[in-house]
Amino acid sequence: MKHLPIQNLLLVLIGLLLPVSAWAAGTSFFMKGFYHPMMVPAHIIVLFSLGLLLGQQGWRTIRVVLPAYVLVLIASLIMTRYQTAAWNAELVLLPLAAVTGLLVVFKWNLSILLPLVIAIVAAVVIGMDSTVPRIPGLQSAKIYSHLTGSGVFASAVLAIISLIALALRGLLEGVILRILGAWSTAGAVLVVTLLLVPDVNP
Amino acid sequence: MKIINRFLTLLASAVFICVLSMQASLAAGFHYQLDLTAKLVNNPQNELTAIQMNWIYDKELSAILMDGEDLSEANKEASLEKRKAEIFKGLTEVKYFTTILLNKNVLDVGKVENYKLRLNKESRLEMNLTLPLTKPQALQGNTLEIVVTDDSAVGLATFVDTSRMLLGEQFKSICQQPDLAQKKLAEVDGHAQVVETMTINCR
Amino acid sequence: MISRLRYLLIVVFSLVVSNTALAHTGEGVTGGLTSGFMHPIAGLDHVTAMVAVGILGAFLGRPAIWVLPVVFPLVMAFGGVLGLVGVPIPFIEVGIAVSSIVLGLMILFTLKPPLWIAAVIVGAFAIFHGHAHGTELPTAANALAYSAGFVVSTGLLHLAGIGIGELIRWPMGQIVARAIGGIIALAGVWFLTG
Repeated sequence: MKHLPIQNLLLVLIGLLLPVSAWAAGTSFFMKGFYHPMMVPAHIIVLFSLGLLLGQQGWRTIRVVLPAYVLVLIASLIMTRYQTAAWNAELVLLPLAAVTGLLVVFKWNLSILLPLVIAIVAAVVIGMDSTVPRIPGLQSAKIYSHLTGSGVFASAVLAIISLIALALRGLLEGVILRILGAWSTAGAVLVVTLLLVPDVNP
Repeated sequence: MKIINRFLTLLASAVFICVLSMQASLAAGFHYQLDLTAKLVNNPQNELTAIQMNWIYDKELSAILMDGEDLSEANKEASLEKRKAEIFKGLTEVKYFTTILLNKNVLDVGKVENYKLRLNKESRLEMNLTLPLTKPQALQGNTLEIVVTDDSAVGLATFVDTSRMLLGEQFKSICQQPDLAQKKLAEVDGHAQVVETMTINCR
Repeated sequence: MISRLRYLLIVVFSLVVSNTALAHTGEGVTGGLTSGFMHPIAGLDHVTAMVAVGILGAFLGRPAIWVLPVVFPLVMAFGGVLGLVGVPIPFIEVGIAVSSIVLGLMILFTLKPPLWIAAVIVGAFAIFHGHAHGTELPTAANALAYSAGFVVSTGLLHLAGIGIGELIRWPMGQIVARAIGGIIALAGVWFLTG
């Protein structure tokens, strides 16, 4: 098979996620975990920029980087049971999103290595930042259910955005991706500034 | 045709992403509340030796913690017994959300030996335990503070009001009525950390 | 035909599914996201400028079609940083209104300056827009959600502008696009005087 029919893959993923998202959340810890990355916009913005980059670089990059990202994400999520992250996730993810957005703007032909490194860093930080809310006495099954939900969401969003970007990379010579990349950089830069400038930090 | 399809892909994707992000409102971050009633325990020398605590879990948290357990009348006690140790362990890991201070100095607490878990009529879990001090403390002429907070800001550990602080007969005669202060600290992951301080002035 | 129907089905389903969610706005992440998304749309002065940048890029052709909508947010971010750190820029609202006038007139009269001049003009106006957004960020319910929201909506506005600009492939489309430029310029005058 030369490459999978992109739009069919996209439809399958969207089709799977839409009924899930329509379900009243809060009924299970899987769902709570599923929506957790949504409550942390730094995760979304870096996944958005990374997805644009992967799609722009093409299927050759997606098929290597995406599985690597998923594996590292799973490992990081499991690590949250044993370690807490010492870093401030936003201060890592937002500059990463800004740089990734710029790479999308410039539309260079990158080797697989750079997107892979970006994806691995994103997976580690997102995973370690997805600790389950501390609830004394919570059953292990629920904890792992929450982590699984977070992992599924963070993987699915990246996959979907990558595939959308892959479908759009040829449209108007990739203008759309470049514009969206510029806007993610702009958003990330603004919020990093907000975090770093103490006087205006609410 | 290809361009139209791609534009439609773009439109559908943009709508999907907007919708998904709005759907997050249906699943806001989890919060829970634990209501605390505390009673001062004294020895024959009228020194403070422990604090008896009754933690009442909110309904949703109670349901989550007992999810999957058989709560029929016949098996309720066995199920509670089964979950008791793990729920207590969870509370121990967060140091019962409590810090005890005497004249602003933190008092050391010992190991809790006895604790009970039950399900009340409102299907809310109640954990009863006695938190011992490592050294008895005279309260006369001193100020005792019991500070409760969840530093992860996921939970709200609260006295609710001053009526939940029971001095006991011995300390009622030497201490003023308790005073409760609540303060909101900085946000943690979008949740506001609340600190409650119950002050018992025995000066 | 079947492909288009599939996509339309997804769009419609998404809109239906989102109905209940639309009621829940105003707090925390969702509130920040929604208010950020609505901010450029609710501010007509921002809408007109964003759309105008897209149209102008399409008018000037490649590579302006991507250079201008890319220059705008990147320089806008710089303007936003200035706003956040408290560097004052005078006449912000005037600058925003004038951006609509100038860009609208450029479209109306199909002015085609060299790319670097167009980029400088767009960049200059972007600083005003960015400064305005930057000063609003600290008061937003959730700053990053707010930024994510307005990133999505302004990106969509640019794309709408490009879509309108692409109409110039057809003679009628040229008239429509130029007319929209005229309306944008008039709107700018209204913002300035109103």
